[in-house]
Formats: sequence, structure tokens, C-alpha cells
Amino acid sequence: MNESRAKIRNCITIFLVGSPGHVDTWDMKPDAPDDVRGKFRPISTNVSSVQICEHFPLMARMMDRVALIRSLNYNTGASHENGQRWMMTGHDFSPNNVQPHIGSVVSRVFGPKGDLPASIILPGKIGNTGAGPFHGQTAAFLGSGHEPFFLGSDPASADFKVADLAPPANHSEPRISARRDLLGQLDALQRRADSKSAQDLDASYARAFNLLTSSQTRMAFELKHESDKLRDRYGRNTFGQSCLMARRLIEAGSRFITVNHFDTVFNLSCWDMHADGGGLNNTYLDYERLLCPQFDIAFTALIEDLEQRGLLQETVVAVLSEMGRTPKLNPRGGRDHYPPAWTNFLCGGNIRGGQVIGSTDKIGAAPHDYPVEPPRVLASIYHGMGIDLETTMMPGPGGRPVRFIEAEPIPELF
Amino acid sequence: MSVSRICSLKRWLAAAAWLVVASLGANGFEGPGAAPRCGGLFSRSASGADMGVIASDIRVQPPAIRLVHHRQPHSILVNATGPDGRVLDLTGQATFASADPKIATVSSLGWVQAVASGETRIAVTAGGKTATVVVTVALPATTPQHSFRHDVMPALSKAGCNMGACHGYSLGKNGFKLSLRGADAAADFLSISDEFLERRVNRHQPAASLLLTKPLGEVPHKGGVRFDAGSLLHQLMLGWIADGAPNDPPTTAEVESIRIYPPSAITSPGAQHQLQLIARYTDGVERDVTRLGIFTANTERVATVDDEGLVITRELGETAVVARFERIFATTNFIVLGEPAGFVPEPVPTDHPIDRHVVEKLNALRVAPSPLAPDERFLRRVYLDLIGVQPKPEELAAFLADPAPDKRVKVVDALFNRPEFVDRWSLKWGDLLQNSRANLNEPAVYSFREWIRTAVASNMPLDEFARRVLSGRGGIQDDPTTAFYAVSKDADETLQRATQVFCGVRMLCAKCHPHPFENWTQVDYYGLHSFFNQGGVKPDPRLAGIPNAKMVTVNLAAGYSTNPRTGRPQPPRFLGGKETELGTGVDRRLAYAEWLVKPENPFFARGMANRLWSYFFHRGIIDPVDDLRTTNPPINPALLDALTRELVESKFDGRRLMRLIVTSRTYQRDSVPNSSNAHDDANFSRFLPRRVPAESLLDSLAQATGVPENFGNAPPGFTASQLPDADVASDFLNLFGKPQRAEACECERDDSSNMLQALHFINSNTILGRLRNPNGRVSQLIRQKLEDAALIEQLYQWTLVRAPTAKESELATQFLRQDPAKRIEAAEDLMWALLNSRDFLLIH
Repeated sequence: MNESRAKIRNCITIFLVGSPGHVDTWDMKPDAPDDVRGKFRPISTNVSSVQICEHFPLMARMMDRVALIRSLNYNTGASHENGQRWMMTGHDFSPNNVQPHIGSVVSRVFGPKGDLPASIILPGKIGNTGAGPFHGQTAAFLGSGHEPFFLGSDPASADFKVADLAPPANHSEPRISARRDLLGQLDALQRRADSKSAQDLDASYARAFNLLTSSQTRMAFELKHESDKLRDRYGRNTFGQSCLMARRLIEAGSRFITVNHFDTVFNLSCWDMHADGGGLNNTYLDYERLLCPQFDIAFTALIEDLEQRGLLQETVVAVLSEMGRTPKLNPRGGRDHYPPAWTNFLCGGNIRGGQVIGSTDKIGAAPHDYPVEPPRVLASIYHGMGIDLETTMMPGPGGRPVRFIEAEPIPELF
Repeated sequence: MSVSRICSLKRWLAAAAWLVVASLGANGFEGPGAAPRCGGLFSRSASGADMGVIASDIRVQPPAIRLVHHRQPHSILVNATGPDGRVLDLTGQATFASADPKIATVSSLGWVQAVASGETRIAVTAGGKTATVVVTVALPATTPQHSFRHDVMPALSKAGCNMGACHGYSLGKNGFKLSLRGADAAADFLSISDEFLERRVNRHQPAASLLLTKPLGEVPHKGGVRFDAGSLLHQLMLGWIADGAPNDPPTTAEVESIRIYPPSAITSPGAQHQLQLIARYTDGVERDVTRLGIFTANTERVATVDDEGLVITRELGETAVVARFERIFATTNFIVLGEPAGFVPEPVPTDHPIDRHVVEKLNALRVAPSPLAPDERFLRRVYLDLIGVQPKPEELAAFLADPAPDKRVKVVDALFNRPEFVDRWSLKWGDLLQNSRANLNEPAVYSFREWIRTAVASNMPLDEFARRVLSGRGGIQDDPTTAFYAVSKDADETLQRATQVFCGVRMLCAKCHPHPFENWTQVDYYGLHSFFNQGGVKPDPRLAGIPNAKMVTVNLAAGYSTNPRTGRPQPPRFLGGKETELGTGVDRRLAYAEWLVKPENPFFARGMANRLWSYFFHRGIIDPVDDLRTTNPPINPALLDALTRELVESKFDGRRLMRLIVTSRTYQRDSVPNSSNAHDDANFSRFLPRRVPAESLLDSLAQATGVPENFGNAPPGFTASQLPDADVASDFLNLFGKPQRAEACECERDDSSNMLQALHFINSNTILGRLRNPNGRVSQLIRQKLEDAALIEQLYQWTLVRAPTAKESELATQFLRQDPAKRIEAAEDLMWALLNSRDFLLIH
């Protein structure tokens, strides 16, 4: 287990909460009947054999970096939470068998690189998505020290501050530092009764104070150090600025960043395109005007930025969602939950871009070849990070060593 | 001649001996040659075994050897005792001579090889002393063939071929699958000899067999080179193939037990000790299997052990060294002592069984225990441990003022009657029995909680408690303990939970393969399964419409469970005991419960005593507490035996055992180390500080600041210790490791510290909001218009449960007086610093 200094690559996972319809985005069916094909048209990309939705024009110019997996599927239930658990942990667990988030696994086995937590989730927790509190973004049995660190604040907002990192309101900087000095002096007067627990406690406080006081780590959370031009390039919205912060946090030494694109599916514009006329009233209009452009801009900005800084080879970027959406439009012109087939994609690290793994049938209803279940995507992420899944174990429930995931990586990706 | 010179000479001789053997072809034997025992980096017995300091005669192990096999030599260990009573290993520097080399030869490293039937003697000389080993050779008329089970299977294990990461993986590797850790010789024989068109085993050209060329690295092998050409493992496997790769006759003897020498050793840092591993087979034959043993040291900081069983001690401390041969384990205990100047043994107390056994062990370790903790530290410790909350200032004052010499015993007895005692210990049982709304509906959780609380309040004997928990039947309204069964999704989960909680044994591994660290197999696992497979959980038809209302049913007609390895029904089998024919028509769960709580049961009383002990020392005598197994021996067996006896003799009175523990000097020792016990973290020579557990920390925080916590999803007014389960909205409890009750394992509670917790204490509203709260402690004390000294004293008492020292008082006074206009802020900040200091966050 002692591989805390191991050199592994980083990962940024973008999680598209709500789930884009695969037929409307990265697995289009232009020749299918009207009630399948939908409203959007495909466009060509810089990989001649691959077409994607017309509303991803920037992404179309960098398809050579991206490996699409078009044959994802599972069969355990069609709630958002089923898919979140699958794609964030590799298991669709029950409440009494909660499994850890992939970032917590990395944190537990490889540890933090510096003062920043190894696993950070931006901008915040996934809240209500309809069917319970188990979203697969916890450390589960790996211990609270490996819980993802949630930013809990919107990087795009003017009064952005990180939950427990920001100085408390009404506390002046001199007061905070005087108080900290007092603690140091009082602690020094207390008797030294050493033990592992005491050492751990000291080390935890040392790390916390480093994080609070080190200008370098604090700066990682401050987007003001980025040029306006670059901030504009990512898009001046929560998602775009979160993607930018993801890059800053990787640069500052975090290992695994997860960006949740939305934290709920209710009463806002998001990927969950039921078009139900009520709280779930997302439609083609939302995709066209808001969601696709927002994603296209931020995602391509992130890839470009990582590439320019030489970080793309050191960072696996995964774009994941819970499931696909029904191939046939519902009577209201929306699409509903659909786990039997969908598309996600990976790039960066040692992933070979410009290729498509698997395919679906003529209407996108089921994998046509190379069906891929969620655990293989996680195995591929681990493998892409340079983790040897055959020899690396983590302490499972009860301390029993267990594998990260019972699945093989997709060899064609590498 | 220096030791290292002797050693290199011996290495050279050993290599030469190997050349002779190699020239004989593939008829190697397990003795000298395969690898010199002197090791590469270390000269043997580099320290300690200076010839001048041997205080005793030399001892040879074994004094008599019987050899019955042409290829199975036997080693000789040579030991002596130093003037300080420590064991010295002289094997590496001894010389050996056979009286009759026509009967048996002996190598320079002490391996005795049969030549012809008869009797002879080996003269052993070391440190100027001599000893004799009697050798009897009784060889069969012809050299026996190699055996798959006795030669190839141990070699596959020793080379690591059947490890979980290699061919032992459930799907095999690269098309070649072996049973995990050699669990199934019959299956392995088939996959080696019959599959793959005989390429694995080439009977015509044995050396070309993939079984050899792969691990030798002669052809690409993803698992790397596993052994060298000419090594013992190579010889065994090649010999078997050259003999025609025969299967064994059905009457082939099996390993019955293994023994390890020395069984324990007290020694010094930097010493070396050769181990000897003897296997006994079902036909009574004994075989030296040292070279085929798989050795690991449990605490590598203290000692390491190499492939050939050579232990090298490092730092002061104690470690078990575990040996495995085939699927059987044995352990030996190594104690590595320093030379504390002027160590004076502590008089062994006779008035308290705990103190007696702890001090006896500490004297043997030359460790002096710390003195008793001062009154205020003892009081805070025993409050937190027994009732889960700190004493209040008035309780501290009353205790300090009490002149009675037995006031510590009095306060303990009073704590047993506090309502918080019931909260704290009901919480523990609720955790272990996994009472949670994640598994059960709310009425079930609350009624099981109430049942547990009543049992704790009335001090229900632990045997009765276990029996009732295991006998539940019907719905929650019939018997609240049915919640225990209703939590499980199947009999597998029930048997694993029941065994872990009440026996302290983890059986999960043995469900699919032999347990990697214990002798349990699927026979044991499904033997337990058959006790529980009559039970079922169904929706309660009487409570139609009530969500998740469950009912525990027992199908008396159910047959035994099937062992998937044999495909046959497995009769019930008590853990570590006999099979029993219970058949149908009886509730086999009850038979299990009756067996469990019998006083002579080897697991229950011992497991409970160990578990209760761990709640007060943060470490079991066997640790982890719910992982009793051969390879995890107790650190102080006499102590555990004494506690077990106390528990049985008191008819499983848990409270009485707790009282015995907290009234011992051992429990009351200070946490500050002295010069001899700073390194001791296992033998209870001082109290080891540990972080306050989640619920106690939050309740103590609420008490100190005067601001209670309001939990969502629980009745208002509940303290953290009273919560029905972990299904409450509390970032604090989650962050500080409150168990989710998803596992029956003590390890689910996480009392470690991490940075996020520190950040929370430093900066979160949980702390800062309480300090600023207008009804909180700081505001209350300010309103009383206390002088600085009194204010500081109060803040120290509410947080650290003691008065400040003069220096602390001076520092705090300065801090308060910096700016009179900001005295309130300064008082808040002082309390903030106290809450963030070690003395609040640790039990010490």
C-alpha cells in the first residue's frame, strides 16, 4: 500500500449530471426515422470517420485527441443515482455496501502530493437528483481523510470562497494570526505524550495550517491570477470557471479533480431533457442555446490549456455521464433515461485519440459491437493514470486487500 | 577466523557442494546448495554471538533426527543463552561432523542428508562447546518418485505462482489458472498436466516444459523470473516431470500440522536467527520444510525475515513471525530488547490480575511502566471512556476535593449508573449489530435500539445477550432482536456478521477460497452456513402497507448448504470444532447459539474480553480485535487468559470486567513516557493518547461551549451518543469517523486524524459559531464579569478539564489584556485555541 510517492498521472473527470442524449450529441443517427434522429445534424470532425453534433464545433476540431466509447451500457435501473454510482465507483452498490469514489481510491492508495487534498470535487456536492443520497462521491470505507474535498462555492461568482479555507467573516487577518500563534504557544506548554494518534493529529494540523497560510496553495483557488482572456476562453459561467480551476488545482498538486456539471436536475437548465413542462422541462432549446455551447467551450479550453502547459500527457481527462437517453423522442419531444446505450469519452494521458470504441445499432438502442460496461471505463481511467491494476490493491471493508475494480481496461484506448 | 571469513568460506563450500549435486542431474534434494544460508549482505550472527559471552551449553534442535526419504534432509539449529538470558543463534558459526558419512552426511550449514539406513551421530561444535545429534536413517528400498502434492504444490506456493495477483487469480493469468494459494491440488494437477496439449509438462523433454521455462525466464513470462536454474524449486518441479509427472495415489498423506523453532525468542537489535519449520503428515512422518516455508514478519520495523527463514532483528519491540507451509500456519514471537541502563524490575503486583500479567511481561521486556496519571487526567479519561463525555468543572472540583483513598474506584462505580453510560455502550452495540435505517425501517431501528439500551442498563450477561440476538424470530413487535437477522441480505452475511461480532473471526475470505492468513477453508465456511441457512427475511404480512416491515422466518425443513467446491451438502460444523448432524426439524441457529456461549467455547469469552479491553486501550491484546487467528497471536497471552477467566467466572458480567479494567493501575498509567517505555506501543506500559471518538468529541464540544447540536433526521434534544444510527445530517460526525453501520467490523469506526478535520476545527462554523453564540460559554462567562484569572480557569476547566499551569495562566492573561476593548474576542480566541489543542482533541 505504501505507494504514496508513486508517480502516477492525474485525472480530471467532468461529470455531466442529468445525462446528454447520445443520439443528440456524440452518437448521431442521421439516417434514422424522424422520431429518433431528433433536431440536430452531425458535422464532420478532424477525424474523417467521426461525426458529432453540430453544436460542438470546437470539439470537432480536436477529435484527434478524443477517444469516444459509444457502446456503454448497464442494466441495473434507470435513475440518475444508478448511473452516478456506476460511473463514479464502478459498482451500483446498495446503501449497506457503499463503495468509494474513484478519487478517494487514488487518495487512499497514493496519498496527497503536497498540501492540497488528493481528490477535489468542483463546484460542490451532487444534491437531489431524484432517488436518494447515494451518488458515489464519498470515500466509503476508505476513511474520512479520503473524502473528496468539496469546493462548496461557485468559482464564477464574485464572492467565491472555499468553505473551510476562507478566513471567517468579521475576522481580521491580524486576529487570525494572533490566535494561531496563541495555539502554537499553548500547545507547546502541554505535555508531550507521544503516540501514533498524537503524531497524526500534529501532522493534520500542520497540513491544515500549511494549506491555510501557504500563498501557493491558496493561490490555486484564486482565479484572479488568470488573464481575462483565458477566463473568457473557458466561459464566464460556473462550469467554465470550474474547469479552469480544475487545471489550476492539478498544477498545484492535486491528483484527481471531478467537475460536476450541475448539482441537481430539477428546475434548472441541464442535460436531463425530459421536456415535461414542469420541473424537468429541458428541451432542444436548452441544448442548443446553453448546454452544448457551454460544454464545447469549456472542454476545448481545458484541453488546449493543458496541452499548452505540457500537462495533457500527465492528465487523463474523462467526460462521463450517468446513462444515455431514449432513442425515440417522447410525445413531448424530449428524451427519457436510457442506460442500455450511451457515449462517454476519454482523452489526455496516454489515451490514443481520434478513435471510436464500440458502436450502437441503427437507432442507438443497444450496443452493436464491443459493449462496454461502466467498470471498464474506470479500469481504463486507472490504467491511463499509470496504475497497475493487477498488483495495486486497496484496503477493503474490514481491511481486506481488494482490487480497485474487477474489470480490465479497454486495450484499444492505449 | 572472523565470523565473516567463516561465512564466506561456508558459502564457497556450499556452492561447491551444489556443483556436485548438479552433476548428478535432476535428482536434487532439499539440503545444502540451493542457496547459501549466509545471505548476501549480512554475515551471520554479526552481533550478540561473540564467542566469549555464551553463558550456557549449546542446544541443538532437534536432538535426534529420523530420515526416511532420499531427498528430504533435515537442518540442525544451534542455540545458546547469553549472560542476560537472551537467545543466541550459533547455527551459522557452528561446525558439524558426521560420525559415519556412509549413513548420513552433514553440510557445513548443518543440513543432514540420508545416505543409507542405519544410525550415526553428528558432532556439533560452537563457541568451544559441543553437542550431539543422533541420526536414524530408515530409507525405503528404492528412491521414491517425486510427488505432485509433496513436491510440486509446495514449490508452486513458494515461487508465488498461485498468488492472487498471478495464476491464483479467479480468472487465472494468460490462460493458466491455479487454485488460490494451492487450495485444490486435484484441480491444479489437471490444469498443469492435461491442458494445453501437454506443452506445460513435456514428459519427453522435461526441461522444455512451459512449467519450467516460464518461471526460469527462458521464455517471456509476465510474472518475471520466479526461480533460478538449479534452485530447489527448479529441482523439485523438474524431478517430478522427469519422473513422468505422476499423479499421487489416493492414500497420499496430507500435512497435519506444522511447528516452528524457536517458538519464541528474546533477543537484541541487529541479531540473526535461523528458523526451522517442521511439517507433520497424517502418516506420522515429519519433514523439515524450512526451505519451502513462506515467511513474513507482522511488524517489519522490529524484524524482517528472508525467503529462507533467516530473521534479522532491527528496532526494539515485538513481532510475530508467521510461517506458512501449504495452507497451514505457525507463528513465533520475537522480542527485541535494548540495554536500558539501570533497569530495575517492577515488583509484580499480586492484588490485581491485570497488573500482575502486564508487569510480568514488562519486566521480561526490561520496560518500566509510567506512574499513575494525576487525578484530573484520570478523571477526564475515565469519563470519556465509560460515559463518552468530559466531566464538568463541578464534577472535577468534587473529585479533586474528595480525600478518600479509594475515590477513583468510587467515581468509576458512580459512572456505571449514569444515563450516559447506557448511551455510550448502546451506541457501541448498535454499531456492531448494524442497527441502521439504511437497512431497517424506523420503528425497527428504534425498538432494537430500545432493546439494546435495556440490556445495557440492566447489565444483561453477555452470553444471554448473544443468545437472544441469535435467536430472534418473527417481526419487530414479536422480538426486537429480529432486527439483527433482518439487516442481512442472506445467510452468508448473517454468518459473517455473527462470526465476526461474537467470535471475533473474519470468515469472508473462506467463502470463495481458503483464508489467506488462517487455516479456514470452504468446509469451515459452509459448515457455518448450514447453521444459518434456515433463516429468511420476508415482508411482514401483518404490517401490510408499512414500508420495509420485515419478518424473520425459520424454515426447519431446509437441508444443509452446498459446498461449491465439492458440490455436496456440508453438515453444520462448529468453528474450529466438529461436524454435527442436526438434520431438519430443529432450529440450527439455536444450536449455534448454545455452542457459542458455552464457557469452554474458545472464541466467545476470549473475543469479548479482548474487545472490551480494546475499548479502554485503543488496542486489543489481540489486534485487530475482530481478527482472531493463528497468524495474529495475542501480545500477552497470560493477560488475555486471565481476562477470559474473569469473564467466564463472573458469568459473563461485562460491567464487572470493565470495572476490573478501569480500576487497574495499568489503565490509570500516565501517558508521558519514561526512558525505557517510549517505544512501547503494544504492552500497555503507559497510556497511549488517542483522538476522542466522533460522538464523544461532539458531545464534549457542545458541553464545553454550552451550545448543543441539532441533528436533522433525529429527535430534537438527542446527543451525538444517543443518535439512532449514522443516517443523520452531520458533517462533523461523518468527518470524525462515525461508523455508517455497513459492516460488523470495529475498523469501520475511524478514530484517525486528518487535515479536513483540522480545517473543520480551525475554520468551520461548528466551532466559530459556538464561540460567538450569545448563549454560549464565552458570553455566559463574560456576563459573570469574572476577573481574568477566574475566566481563564473556567475556560480551561470546560475545555481541558484541568486548571491552567502558572505558565499557561500567564500566557493567557497576556493574551486577554492585549486590547481591553476586545476582551470578548480575546476570550473567544483563547477558547478556540484550547479546543484546537492536543489536550482537548486527545484522550491522554
